Amino acid sequence: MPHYPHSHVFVGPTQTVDIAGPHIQVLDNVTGVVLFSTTAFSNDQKDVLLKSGPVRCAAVDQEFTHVVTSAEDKMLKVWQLDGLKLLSERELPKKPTSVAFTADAQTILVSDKFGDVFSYPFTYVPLTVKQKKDALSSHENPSGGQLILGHASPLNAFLLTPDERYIISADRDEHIRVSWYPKGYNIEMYCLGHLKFVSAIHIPKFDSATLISGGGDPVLKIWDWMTGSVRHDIEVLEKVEPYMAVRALKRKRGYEDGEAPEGGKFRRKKGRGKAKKKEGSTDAKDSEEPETANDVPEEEPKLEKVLVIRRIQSVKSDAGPYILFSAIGTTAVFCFPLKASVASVDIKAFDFGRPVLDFSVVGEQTIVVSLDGEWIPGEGEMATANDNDMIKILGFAGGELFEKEESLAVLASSLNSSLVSATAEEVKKLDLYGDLTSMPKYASDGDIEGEGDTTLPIGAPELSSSETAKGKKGQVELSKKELGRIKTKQAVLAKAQKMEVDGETKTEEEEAPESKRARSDGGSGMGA
Amino acid sequence: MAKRKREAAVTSDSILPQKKHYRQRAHANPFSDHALQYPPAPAAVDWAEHYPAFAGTGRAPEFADIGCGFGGLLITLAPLFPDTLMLGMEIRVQVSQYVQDRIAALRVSSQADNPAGASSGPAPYQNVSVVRANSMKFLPNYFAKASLSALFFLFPDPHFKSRKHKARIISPTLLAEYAYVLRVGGIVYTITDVKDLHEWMRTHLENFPLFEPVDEQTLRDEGKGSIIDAVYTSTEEGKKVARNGGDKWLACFRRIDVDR
Repeated sequence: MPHYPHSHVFVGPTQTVDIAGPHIQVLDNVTGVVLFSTTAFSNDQKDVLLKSGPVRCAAVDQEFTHVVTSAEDKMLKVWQLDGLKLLSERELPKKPTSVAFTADAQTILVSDKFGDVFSYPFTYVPLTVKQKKDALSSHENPSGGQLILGHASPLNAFLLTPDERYIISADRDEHIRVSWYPKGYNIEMYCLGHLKFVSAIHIPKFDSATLISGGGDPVLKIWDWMTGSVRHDIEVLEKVEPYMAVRALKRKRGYEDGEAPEGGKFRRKKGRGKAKKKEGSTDAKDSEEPETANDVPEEEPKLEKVLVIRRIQSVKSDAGPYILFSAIGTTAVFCFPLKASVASVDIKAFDFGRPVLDFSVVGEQTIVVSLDGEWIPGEGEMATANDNDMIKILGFAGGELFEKEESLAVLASSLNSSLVSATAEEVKKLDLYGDLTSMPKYASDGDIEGEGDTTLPIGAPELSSSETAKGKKGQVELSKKELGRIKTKQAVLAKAQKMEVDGETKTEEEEAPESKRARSDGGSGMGA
Repeated sequence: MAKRKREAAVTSDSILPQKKHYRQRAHANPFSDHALQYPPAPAAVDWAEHYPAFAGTGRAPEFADIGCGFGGLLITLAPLFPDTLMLGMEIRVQVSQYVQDRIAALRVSSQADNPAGASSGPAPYQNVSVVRANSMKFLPNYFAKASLSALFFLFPDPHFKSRKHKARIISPTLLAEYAYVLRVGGIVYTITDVKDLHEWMRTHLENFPLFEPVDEQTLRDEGKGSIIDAVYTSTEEGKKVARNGGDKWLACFRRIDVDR
């Protein structure tokens, strides 16, 4: 019988909150005894709970008295830990991506797939009048939340700065935004520079001016978040790549815009995509999948290694400040010193032989790692674990991660034994590695094509080349529209050249027509 | 018929691109991942590529026309503010290419009409450019904080259905981004021929703490009359509304500063 892995583990001063699938358990840290569990609920209560599906987002307040959860049903539930009493539930406007308590636990913040962050008071007062969507309301707001901020892209992560004067939010379109809190309409700064989605952000407790971010890029970025400037890039992909156990199926997108993949063109696109991957990716990968890739029939789904940073944390140890991180579907937790230049050898990995789902730092130097203990490797994937533990406890000292037996040992063994059983179907529904497929934007592969045609910044007022317009048409005959455009453009060029000949004195002006001719010669050559 | 005649008149000896060669459906979904190229950050934009006559000056655009369409406003404002860099943003590929070709052609033809050395300032239309961009998502990728003095939203897509209201270019959350790129004192110009949309834009801007309404006369008194006139009449959409005898609703707002 399979079991639910621990999706969230919050270790408090005396108790631990464990979330597995749809269930919540509260354990005693010292004895490991399960104090309260939703699995002990009456059948009616359990039915309600199971109907909500697995818990996706959860947070515990600093005092460790309440947990807030949200499952698949867009309901925000506040639980009292003592007795696991459901205090309130309220409807959220969109599917949440992250929840958090403020330090005083009076406010709950929720980010969602639509890109917004709403705040809700701890005590839920249902709206007396059912909110009607009037002609001027821009956001659905079924529970009367306060809109703090919003991006036009799904929000993957957010955090409050330690002083709670700012809220930092990260989205799928590479943005990290620093807004005032709670007056989120006042954007202080953007931290821009990521080339792929941002999925994890962290501010070390001991260095609140620094932000560390990661996502789909091969680097983690260290920011001065107040000024939006990057201090360092830490190359991590090379180090992480050997531990990527779970492969993702590459989504086929970007061919949908009515640009049917026509033989040669499609091949080329694929080839390019591969080439691009190579730059950012590693050599190891190439040796695994040699050049035959280009000849593979188009229909064959391709499993790929995809980097999605899951969690970034920090520890202050005898060896100085360190950053810890994990990535979705990889079997290790990684660490590197927070310093000016981090070389590849500075990044250390602790391998578990099965995918790390999440981890958290407890106290100063104890790390609780949640694993997919019953993970069954798919085709081409490897598992080397020699036990099925869902939880491991690590220590950190001297710049190294090591397995720590003594601390929290009872708790860990209790967590590893008091598992919630599930059907294979239910475990599958958790979709533990779904982010590997959903986070990246594969539509951007279309851009790679575009880049090949023109190195110009998009739309600089050079004449546009007709290939960029109908880029995918290739050798196919030109439409009347395109012929019309080319004719006019040629007239412009002719005039520009004539001027060039006429006025040798115009040094400055000459440059523009010159470059124009070069460009469009290439352009019409390819078009015709 | 009238339309055809007008175009014929233009084509005979003009090197300007013709709109009919750049037709595209009027709407684009701002939430989809278009095959867009965009700079990772404002510092990564080489504005000299867009404004070669201003290369080396370190200048960046100060006016941004969001959803510039066929570029009527830019073309009208360009000679009025020859030292101000202006950028149009348009999400539709064909339309942005039309504007691109139009500016390129205007740069050439105006030079031809105006032999070198005749004027001391930068050559005409050197101060306008266009990018194909999704402004709802990537505005801060182009403009640094407080870098703009004017933002234009002229005849934006009304998105009539209430289900589609979230796609409107004015919303409380997007206004935060507009306030970010505008400097204190900068102006947001909005105009539409759709009364409901006007009410929407006006209400959201009025309710937004970083903007205050500023009436047309005040702006004219500040010497921005030529801009207001261009907002009313220079765009293709504005001309169409005028031809059809429709109303135009103008609403302008000033970026203000607030204390923490």
